[in-house]
Amino acid sequence: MEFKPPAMLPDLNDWMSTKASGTMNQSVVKVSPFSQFFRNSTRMVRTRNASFVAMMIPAVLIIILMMVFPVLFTAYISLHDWSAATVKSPQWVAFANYEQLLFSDARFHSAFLRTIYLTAIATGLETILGTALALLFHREFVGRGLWRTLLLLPMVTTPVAMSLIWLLILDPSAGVVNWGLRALGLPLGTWLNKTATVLPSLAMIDIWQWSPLVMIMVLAGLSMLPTEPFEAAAIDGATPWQTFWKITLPMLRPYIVIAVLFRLIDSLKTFDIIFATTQGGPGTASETLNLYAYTTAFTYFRLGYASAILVLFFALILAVSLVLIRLRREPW
Amino acid sequence: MKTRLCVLLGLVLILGIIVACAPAPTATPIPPTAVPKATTAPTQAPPPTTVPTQVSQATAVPTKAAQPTIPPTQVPAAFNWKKYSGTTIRVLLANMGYVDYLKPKLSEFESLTGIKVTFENFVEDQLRQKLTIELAAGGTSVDVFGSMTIQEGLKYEKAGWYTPLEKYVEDKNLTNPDFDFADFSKGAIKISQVNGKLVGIPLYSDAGLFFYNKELLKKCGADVPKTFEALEAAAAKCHDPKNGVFGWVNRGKGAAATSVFSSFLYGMGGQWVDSSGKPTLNTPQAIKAFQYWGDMLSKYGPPGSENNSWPQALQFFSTNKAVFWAESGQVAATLLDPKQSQVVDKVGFAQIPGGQPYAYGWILSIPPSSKNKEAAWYFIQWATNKEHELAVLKNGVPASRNSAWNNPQFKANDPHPELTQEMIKALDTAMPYMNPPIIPVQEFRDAVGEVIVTAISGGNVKAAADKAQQDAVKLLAGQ
Repeated sequence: MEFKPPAMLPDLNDWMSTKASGTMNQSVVKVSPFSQFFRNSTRMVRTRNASFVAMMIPAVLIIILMMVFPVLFTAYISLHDWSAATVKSPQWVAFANYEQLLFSDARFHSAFLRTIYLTAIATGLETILGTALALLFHREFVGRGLWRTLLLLPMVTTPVAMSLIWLLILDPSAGVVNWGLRALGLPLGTWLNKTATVLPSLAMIDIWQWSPLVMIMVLAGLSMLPTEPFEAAAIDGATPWQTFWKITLPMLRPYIVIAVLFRLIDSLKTFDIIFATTQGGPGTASETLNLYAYTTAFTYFRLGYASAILVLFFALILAVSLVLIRLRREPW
Repeated sequence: MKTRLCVLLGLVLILGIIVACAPAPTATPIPPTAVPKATTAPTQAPPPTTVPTQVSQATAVPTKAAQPTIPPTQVPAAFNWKKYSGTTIRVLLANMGYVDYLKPKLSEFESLTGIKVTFENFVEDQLRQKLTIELAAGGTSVDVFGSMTIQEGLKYEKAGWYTPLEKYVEDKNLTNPDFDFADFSKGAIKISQVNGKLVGIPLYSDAGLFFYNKELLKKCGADVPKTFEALEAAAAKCHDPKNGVFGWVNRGKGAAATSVFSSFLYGMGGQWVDSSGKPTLNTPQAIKAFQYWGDMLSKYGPPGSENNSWPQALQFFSTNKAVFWAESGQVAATLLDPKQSQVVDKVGFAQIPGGQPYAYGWILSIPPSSKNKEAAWYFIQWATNKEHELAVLKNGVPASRNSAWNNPQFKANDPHPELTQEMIKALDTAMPYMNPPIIPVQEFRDAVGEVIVTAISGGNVKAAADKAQQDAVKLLAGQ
């Protein structure tokens, strides 16, 4: 059997070797990443058992304490009516919180749709823009390193500070964007200050900040692609357009999907940008699920209800992630 | 080998379960421990009959305080400030002008009393979060905290987080005779009481005021308006967005706008809730007030007022870009500071045209869970003493003591007698209407905020008001 280096993403490796590098691997039996992980770990236990387990225990304990327990406790609390502000002990209400959320809380429904809407435009455009940037930066040109570094700056900036700067830039009366539009004689935007324009404006900030992440991930993928298929395509006389659609993009797919997965989960959870610029306003026009849960928990102090929102939110993120992981495995 | 792994994994799992179960018992008893406190609170309450006499004394004070000195002859011995020397108290307050003034002076208190102070101050909302979490969890480490009765008074009172203070005020052994409780103004005492109980000592009490830019007003030839109609006409006349001048600025950001809006709501004959406690957000008067607020901002305000709160309005007004503004009197301190404002000698003060001024203020309280109540009371006495109230008044903070306003030295050197005069007038007539007298104030404000945003965006105000009414009714039914 061929040598396989232990990898962070055994699944991805698997896929790459069976799909990308052609006929040679047709005979390799595809193993699930899960069983492969266990095979690896049993091998390790065999060689250095005691120390391996001893070293694993702290990590497992921390995961249980910091992740498993809070999640289970949140789920438990979500079945209660618990208002921290009135010093009443939590009342068991079974699924009443969920019933109210799913069937009669209009604010939750709009927050849900807003979350999906914001995530869809932000992630969609980030993927397209990020991939395009990666293709651009894959070529050699003067000052490439400098430009790449400049493009990465938004990502490493403190989000809240950056959001406050955007608030100034987009201010309808004193902001530099409207100043420029006025100088050009174009109609002025209301950006973050109007119900109708607030979500696209927030998506714009998100795109500005996070497209470079997609770029980096796709760029890493590009540099790992084998050159043979491209040479073959060139010999066969494929146009650049055909090469891109038929070779580059399919081979880049796993990297793009990973980037989309990262961005999708992060976009769904976006909090900092929204909280620092509009706090969910005007009114509730930019209140996403995250902000609604925050307000419910820390302004209204309805902890049970907020937990129920978070459990549903968690389910949403889990569902989206599972769909994407599925999507990565199956051919288009 | 495989069995060994299984055993080890099982061991880890068991360990994990033990750990996961361990915090559960400590997490669940939190509310039960807090409950007895709520029930003991009423028994601690002293006879409330003392309150009216205090208030009637307060009304008589201006004449008494106008006399320059109060003879301290009845006091037999000097007040023992050192009685609780060695204790440490923890004080939680919001950021405000008064706190900025007090912070550098804490060492004076420490050397006077020997009580050590751990001082923490936060942004308002963060303070609310921290207090709610700490007090609801049954913590005993908070000794003094700041709150705004109009916002959270009923909630905290119901939760049993206020120690009634009448007992302390009357106790000659605990209260310095120079403290002079009767010196606090009537309005300030009003905002320190919840359900007739004295729950705190006022730091300051503020009221809504009307500001106008004298220079811009002269340029467009309008008069200082006295009614809602006149305000709209004058704002229309002076509105000149081409030159960057707006007729009117104010808050539009949903819930943030409700405080100043209350002046307009009550001025137009509307109210938050009726006498039976039922919300009245879709009465014709309320709809008129919402429509007026929305029209003023969308027609004569800066674009996108929906996302503006008072700091943005302050920005416009202090840079000569707005003619009229209604806001809490406290912003006057910024408007009159040459470092932060370009309108120092242009700003005029008046009563909100046609509006009913609203009153609010911050008080200092002691939670019943505190273990150092006496030392905490010493701190409150010191923080609100005559010297400090006078000093903050000079900084532009509306003081809660009559002796500060009537201080001859202050009166003689008052650089802004117009502001002082209007402020006293507003404080005199102001009512604590800023928020409805209910417990879920914030949820109610959010519901109202939606109508305000709809009104500014030019949506259907009636429909939005109906929805807010529905939400508010549901909200109060759930309590």
